Amino acid sequence: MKYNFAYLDEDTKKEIRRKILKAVAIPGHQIPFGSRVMPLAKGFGTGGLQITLSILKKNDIIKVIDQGRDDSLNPTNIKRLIKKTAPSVKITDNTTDATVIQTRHRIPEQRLKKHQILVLQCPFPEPLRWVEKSEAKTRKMHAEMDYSKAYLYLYEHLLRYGEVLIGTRYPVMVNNRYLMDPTPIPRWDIPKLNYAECLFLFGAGREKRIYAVPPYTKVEPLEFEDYKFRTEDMSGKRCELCGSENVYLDEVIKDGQRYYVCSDSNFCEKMRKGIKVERWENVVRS
Amino acid sequence: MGFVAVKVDPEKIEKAERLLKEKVRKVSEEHIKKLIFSVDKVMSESGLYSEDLAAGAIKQSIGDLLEASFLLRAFKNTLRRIEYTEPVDCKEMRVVRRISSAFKDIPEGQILGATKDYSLRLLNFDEPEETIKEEVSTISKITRFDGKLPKVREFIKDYLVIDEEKDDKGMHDITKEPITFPNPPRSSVLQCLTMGEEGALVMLAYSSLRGYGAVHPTILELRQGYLPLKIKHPLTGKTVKVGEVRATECEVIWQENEKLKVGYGLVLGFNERKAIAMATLDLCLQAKDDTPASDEEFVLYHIDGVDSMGFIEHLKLPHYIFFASIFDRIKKVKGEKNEI
Amino acid sequence: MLLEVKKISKIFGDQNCKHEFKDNRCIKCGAILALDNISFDLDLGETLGIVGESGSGKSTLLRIIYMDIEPDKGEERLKGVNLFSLDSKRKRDVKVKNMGMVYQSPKEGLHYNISVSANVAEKLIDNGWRNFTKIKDKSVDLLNKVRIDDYRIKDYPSTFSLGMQQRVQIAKAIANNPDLLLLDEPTASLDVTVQAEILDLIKQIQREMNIAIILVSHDLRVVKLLAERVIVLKNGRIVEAGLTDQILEDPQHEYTQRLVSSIL
Repeated sequence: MKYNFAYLDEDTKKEIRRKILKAVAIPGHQIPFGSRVMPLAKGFGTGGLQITLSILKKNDIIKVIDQGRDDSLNPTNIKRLIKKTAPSVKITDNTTDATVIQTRHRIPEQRLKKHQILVLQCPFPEPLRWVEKSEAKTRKMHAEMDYSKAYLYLYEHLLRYGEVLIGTRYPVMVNNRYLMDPTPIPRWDIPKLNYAECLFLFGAGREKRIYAVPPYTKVEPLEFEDYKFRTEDMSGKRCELCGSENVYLDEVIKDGQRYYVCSDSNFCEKMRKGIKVERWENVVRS
Repeated sequence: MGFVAVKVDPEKIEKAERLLKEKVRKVSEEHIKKLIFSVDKVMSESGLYSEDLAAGAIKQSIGDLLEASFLLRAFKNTLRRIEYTEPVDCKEMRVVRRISSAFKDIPEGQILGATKDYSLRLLNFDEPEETIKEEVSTISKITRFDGKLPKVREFIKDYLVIDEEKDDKGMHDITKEPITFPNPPRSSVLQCLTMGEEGALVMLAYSSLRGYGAVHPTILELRQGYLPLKIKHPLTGKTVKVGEVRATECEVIWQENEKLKVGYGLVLGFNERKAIAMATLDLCLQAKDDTPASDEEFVLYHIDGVDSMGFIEHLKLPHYIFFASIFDRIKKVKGEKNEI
Repeated sequence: MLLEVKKISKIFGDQNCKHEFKDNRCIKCGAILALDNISFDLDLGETLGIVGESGSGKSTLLRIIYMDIEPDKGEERLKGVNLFSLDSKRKRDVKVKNMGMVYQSPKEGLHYNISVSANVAEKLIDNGWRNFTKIKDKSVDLLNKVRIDDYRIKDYPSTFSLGMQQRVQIAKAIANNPDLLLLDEPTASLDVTVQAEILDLIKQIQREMNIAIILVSHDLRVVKLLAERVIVLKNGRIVEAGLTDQILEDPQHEYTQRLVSSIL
């Protein structure tokens, strides 16, 4: 069976590219698309994959990560498909070299540049699903910019616990217009979306939606004036392998002890080798 | 310190796949094809009618029928669409079975056909040769109807309410255009229902019958047989038959105040249970009710087996960050600072 | 004039039929004429009662005024602007800033899965408030005003008595200092002693806020207590309108007479 370059047929790619253009034209707004059944199960990144395969050019260099790592099951499988159906595309672990990066649940610690595209795998495109089950109603809420239920959700947390209890999927306001779900990235990564140089594309295969944050777009986390958004607190912790501080760390339990290691494996490797890495400029608040 | 990152070797994935293939090397696809209810379930849920491919998928998935549907759907996706058939007329079905629960006797009669409805559910440990021979000869005496067998519905059409508004003018292919709310077109709704997972449809229809829902219908007609598919010939423009598929069609009837409403179900393959459930759900979705089976978004978003299976299984993927972030919030509230 | 309601009509049923009504039912398609040509005016500081039996159309009229449902004919002018001609976003703005509604059943007006403070806060957030402390303080203020204590603001509505739940609805309705307060049978689901508390509260609001109130009730005693003017609805039409005291003392229409006599 001979597959078209990058697996998808040209008609599918055409549709997805058009939908991507529409998404970029309306930052943060969800665009429905005819999501195809992929050789990976739904829930394993089929949305992000369809975007990646639609935009890959023959000379692109691709990096795929899950929880910040290049070598776990999900990225390995995705890279197998790319290798098989788009053999001219180079595969890399190096964030600097990649032109397209597909990611699940993390934005790399290294600042991305304007020639780079980050494709995020999205399980739930709808930020209002927590407060409203019905799609018909959430569409109306977005159309009318009726986001007070989202603020109310934050209000109730603050009232009861003194803290906003949202972990990942922290809702953000894009371009002063649309409330958006940034996917289950940690709060640590949220400030990276604001006025970035690179293009962010979000693909939800099972839910059949595409959305985008174009370069230099305002992205602000939802917050009250007097209770501002805060990221996770990494102070006092460092990576066991490379010694870095001020970076998102994973907790690891081994031999009865707790360690912290960099979530971003490529970043960690560079730190260990003494390679300088350009970080995102945005203020990190914890 | 001895912390070592665990890597996944692509070769190991391939080895795992080879080990699985070994398990079913001796299973013949011809044998699997005979298990028509498995094959039909897979064809219906994938939306692709091909007995050979379905049997192959069942073999490859080592009997996991939902996985097999997934394989077929993924394969279907790589195929070009050559043509859409003319709308099928189920009156043209070559019927092997056709019953009505509403009327004792119907035009052209009740055709029992091959069914296990009346059999005793006892596991057969030994099957005496004589019994089988007897049964087979009975089955071959059953008449198959060629030509048009009238619908029971036609004989009571003056009493029926068919919602003209719901008849949408276009055909929408849900593999190309996702279903959106509110007011999805009827063709999208029916496609969604017919490709839904049998268990999901049965469960929702069951909830309605039991009382968590609006509808407890009667089967007006249930037919099972071979449905001819026709297209317009690209050169002559004439309508030509291109093949036949096994199909099951069900129409159920429900009383809504002073009217009789019809619910419709049509599935690929022989699957009475699913066709009945689909027809029941068709009625439920038309009822303005706040029970689960009448909630359009709830039903149509959650009955797709391939979607639901994938998402449930994705929980096995790493969710370290997701969990750490929740854990962080809980610790924070508890008053622990500087902990991740 | 704050509010001018002009010729409101509402038909429930087949929109395409050219109706012919007999006794409020269309003889051709069975549609129901719920309201027929309703007009009245109301100014700040005034309270208008709408009375009638169940089925007279009074709740429907209130919901049309609150823009929960759309009329088939008519206008509603608030400070000169015809509200029915606005798009849905602007209608929502008007509802948030200028109106407050108290439904007969608190289940319709409150969210049971969040605290009473959050219930009130919703109105403020709708109005653009974005400072948590200020929102919380104002919600406490409003709840105190309806006599709910500080220590209860985090509780869920289901943990309060029906009367207190009604009071939460009232707090929510007046949160943004609206010009117009709408009350749909506010005391109907409450027992007598509790009713008195609510009526008291409404009287206090009348004294302290320069607000226009429309009060729907089948109970003439409630109307007598709170409304200077009243309109009487029967089968969707106004049969009598005027000063409450006058109408109760000397009802002209036979229907009003029956209503009045039923309370004595």
